[in-house]
Amino acid sequence: MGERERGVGAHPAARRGPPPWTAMTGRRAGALASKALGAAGLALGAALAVLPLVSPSPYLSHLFATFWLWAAMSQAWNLVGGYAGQFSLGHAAFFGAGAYAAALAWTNGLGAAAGTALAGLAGAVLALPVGWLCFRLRGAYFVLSTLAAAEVVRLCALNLRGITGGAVGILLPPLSGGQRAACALGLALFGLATLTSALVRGARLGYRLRALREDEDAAEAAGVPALKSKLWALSLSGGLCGLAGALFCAQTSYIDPGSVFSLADVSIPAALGALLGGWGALWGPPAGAGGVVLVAEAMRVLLGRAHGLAYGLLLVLTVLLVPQGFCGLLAARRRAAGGEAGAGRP
Amino acid sequence: MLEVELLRAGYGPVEVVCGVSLRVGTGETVALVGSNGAGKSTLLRAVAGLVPLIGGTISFEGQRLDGLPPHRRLEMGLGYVPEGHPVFPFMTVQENLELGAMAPRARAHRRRNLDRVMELFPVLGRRRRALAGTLSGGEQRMLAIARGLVGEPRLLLLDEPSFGLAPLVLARIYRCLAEVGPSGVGLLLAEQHVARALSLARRGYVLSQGRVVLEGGSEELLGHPQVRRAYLGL
Repeated sequence: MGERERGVGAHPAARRGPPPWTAMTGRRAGALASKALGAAGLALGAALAVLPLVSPSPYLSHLFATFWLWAAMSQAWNLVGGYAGQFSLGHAAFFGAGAYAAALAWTNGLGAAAGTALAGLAGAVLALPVGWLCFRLRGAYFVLSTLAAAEVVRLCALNLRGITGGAVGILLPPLSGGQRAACALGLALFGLATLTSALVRGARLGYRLRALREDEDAAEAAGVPALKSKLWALSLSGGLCGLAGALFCAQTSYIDPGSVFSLADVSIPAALGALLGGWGALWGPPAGAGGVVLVAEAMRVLLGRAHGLAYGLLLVLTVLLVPQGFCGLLAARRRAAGGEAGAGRP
Repeated sequence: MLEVELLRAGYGPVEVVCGVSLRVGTGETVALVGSNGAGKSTLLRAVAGLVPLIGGTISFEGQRLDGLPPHRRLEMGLGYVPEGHPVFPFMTVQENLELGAMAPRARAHRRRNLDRVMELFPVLGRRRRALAGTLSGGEQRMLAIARGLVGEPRLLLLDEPSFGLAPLVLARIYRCLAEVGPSGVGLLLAEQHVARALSLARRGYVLSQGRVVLEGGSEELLGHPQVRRAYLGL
């Protein structure tokens, strides 16, 4: 496999390295630089998080609300697509299920919190049967089966008119607090998704998922319960997507099956963010989601309806040029520069 | 400890193992030899639970294994090391081992198990923080075996531990395997390297085209004219 060859290529440099004394100072300087970089990144992140909450511009708030939403979606997708290497194009199913659960709860008089909780639950629970079916397949067949699963859920929403209102969709009162509130909620959701991702990463589940990604047979032989681990990941991911669906529903105050179960507008951006930024890494998906949202905005202005084309091109270029995503590229660069051989690859 | 009765297994309509019966006693080292394509790997994969059975039964410590997923078999003490380089290349050596040591039956003795395999394979201790993909072929094989051992198996199925290794490395791995046997861990060793495997094991089975064609003590098999002609080139 190509990946393994790359790994081997990085090895001699890491082993030979400079003599110990230069390595010491070099490493110390490197650690300092990376600490400074980390602090700068944190400050920038904090500024970006607060700015749209205090800015008077509704457009800026809207843009950031959208960004946090997709950053959270990519983070959620990464649990399954990145850590476990299960490339799903069906995450719209969980997003849409959450959106519908929330919309139905809210129009039937349930409170904001109850509706949101239901949305998360809908996504997490729907993930179980979907995963149980799709995880029987591997590779391209798995991808196709997730696509089909999302389509089945969309058709159900479209045709169960008595419950969902069918193609007419559901209209909701606008969110009190407007875009600024949506932005704050989005930030909270992103925080939750990132926290989940970080916890899973360090937990036994994270190890198991990574092992499954690298070699499923060997992982099973090493005692990893393959189906159970993947179902856990998909259910956590689906729950977060369900919450994201509820937020989307609150932000746009209108949903229909075509928009919340969309391949081009939901499933692909969720995957694309993680792929572009660095699948499997913790900070990759939000970074990638930023790129995706900006490109989507720019293309909406420049190309109108053809922005799907931009997604397609971006996806192809990413996979061809930076298969590990930008964070993966940075990590590889760091390793090649004489960093620790075992340091975090995505 | 392990009893395989008239096992039949394969891939889709192709039956690769056609009615094999074999036995491994507690703490015993048994060789399963035969040429490429004889069905050794498929047999081990079936015992490990990675290939569905077409017929026959497998029992381990008196319990039937039918339909149990691989990780449940590991919990019962049936470990498996696949052929090739079955390590996780982008995880460190330590992480690879930790993953094996997480098996529920072994979790309580994690530290001790890890120390023990690092002692058995000192090179793994030295390269603990390296990515597994950067190890040499022989080191990766040692890592795979070590990962199998830290799960505290009562019987370890080893698929082709010698495959593609230089004679010197191979000798080292076999020396380590010889140390594993006396510690009470049973080994079922699938090998093309007939002389090696039979010199380590007390007993062996010769597999050909999915069937056991010969079985017996190692000395006896090594001296058997058919084995000498077909596998040892004598």
